[in-house]
Amino acid sequence: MNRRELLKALGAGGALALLNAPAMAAAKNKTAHIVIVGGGIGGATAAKYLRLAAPGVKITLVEPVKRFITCLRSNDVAVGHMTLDDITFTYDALRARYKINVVHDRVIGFDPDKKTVQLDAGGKLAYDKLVVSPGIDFIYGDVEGYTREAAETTLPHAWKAGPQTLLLKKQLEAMPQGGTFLMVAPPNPFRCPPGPYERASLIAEWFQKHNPRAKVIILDHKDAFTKDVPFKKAWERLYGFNTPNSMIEWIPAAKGGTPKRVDAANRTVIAAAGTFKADVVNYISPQRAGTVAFRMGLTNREGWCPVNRRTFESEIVRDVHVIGDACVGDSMPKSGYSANSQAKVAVQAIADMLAGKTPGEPSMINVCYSLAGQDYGVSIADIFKVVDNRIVKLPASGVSPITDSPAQPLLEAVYQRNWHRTFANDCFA
Amino acid sequence: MLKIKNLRRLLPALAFALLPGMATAQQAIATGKMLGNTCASCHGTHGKSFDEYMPSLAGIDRQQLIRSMTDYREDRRVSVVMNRIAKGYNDAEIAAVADYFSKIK
Repeated sequence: MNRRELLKALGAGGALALLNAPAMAAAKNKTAHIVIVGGGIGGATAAKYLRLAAPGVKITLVEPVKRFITCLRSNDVAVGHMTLDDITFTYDALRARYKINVVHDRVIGFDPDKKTVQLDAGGKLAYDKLVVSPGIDFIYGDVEGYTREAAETTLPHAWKAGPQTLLLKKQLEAMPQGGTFLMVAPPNPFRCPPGPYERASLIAEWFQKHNPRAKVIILDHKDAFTKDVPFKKAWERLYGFNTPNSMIEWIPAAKGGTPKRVDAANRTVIAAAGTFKADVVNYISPQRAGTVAFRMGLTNREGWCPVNRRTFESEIVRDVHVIGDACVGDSMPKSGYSANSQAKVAVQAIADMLAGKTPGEPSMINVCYSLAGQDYGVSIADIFKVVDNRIVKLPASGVSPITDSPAQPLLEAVYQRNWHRTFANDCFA
Repeated sequence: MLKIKNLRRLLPALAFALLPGMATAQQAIATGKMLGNTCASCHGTHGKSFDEYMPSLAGIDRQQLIRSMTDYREDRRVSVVMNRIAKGYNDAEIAAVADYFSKIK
């Protein structure tokens, strides 16, 4: 009987008490191998901070793409203020500076008992601790007529940066004068809660210059959205919101905004509020945890990964930690900042567990700047603690104050750009 | 029975617990490093930012950081986001993070 079988036979509680000392000795005697699946914001941060926390361990990062494009600032790419190159990052520093073994491959199999993951190109990786940072994937077919094929050709979601972003950009540029841009904003929970409203803002601003009679219509599954107070104030100030000449019309669920049917060929969305035929339809799909999380059996009925909130260890599979958009994060939004913060908590927990210690107290932040215009930022800043296995947002913080001073939104826009650079370095460099 | 040595070690914690205006003093707090790592997402890894509006925190004077954070929290000093962020931390956490950044070279 090996240690694992013994653990199973005894049940976790008693076994831990019995075997704590030998387990600690084992951890000390051999080099632990931590495998990270997914090299986005969460996975890259986890790899780097694991190296900082545990200089002696072996770390392998498995990520299919060689150059990672951040969703952060991809709205700027869609309207031509930045290029995809500006938001593309490599794994060079993780390899060279942090001695991470970066493998460009895909995980196609998983054995939680033998603690191995199977790679597409062949071969298995044995792990002591596994970190899974799979991001999101899309739910197609939630309404009649919306398919993967429609998303990839005529109705881009542009909710993963890359070809989809460029497709949306091309469609915007090809719009006739005085045309209509229609966005379908997704139901909760989804990646980057302020993202649809930032995108609508930046497209309205782009129309002011390039297509001044064009209009933005948002059909929404929801009646409220993050930072909606400062966003709507900005729309009033910049785009005539709540006037007959408003460039942005927002139709919430309560006013029939929820989409019921899609006619992709005619770029038409049918909702209770009416039939909307547009020149560009940006249908932002409903979302779920990234496909690899499903393949590995880490998801719940809602399609997300339940975790212990103090350690981000999966509630389904031991020694597997799930971070970022895919995990159940309670009051924490699915954002890049959250993924980065959760990675650091998971790293602390893993380092403590490997050292035979109880995982330390977690602390997390989410700060998110969005642009309502190129010189107009709105932000949200929250601190999170874990109470009774729930991630709790402390009440004091929150969204940008509304003031008459033009300095606040202007500075927020400046900080936004500063932040993207520093943040990307904290993850990748 | 508590030995004098242990009591002395407990004193700072007791002092914090007795300070007014500390809603979560009785709750366990994260280490300065854990807290500092969350700051790094804007202020750079190890508090070393590069040529940006968000200043470096590495090697900052301990008292200066405590004063800044407390002033932000009490709205005695204005900022873009730090007022909102500082409100999420009690005195013990601010002291822990100040210890952490002040010791980084």
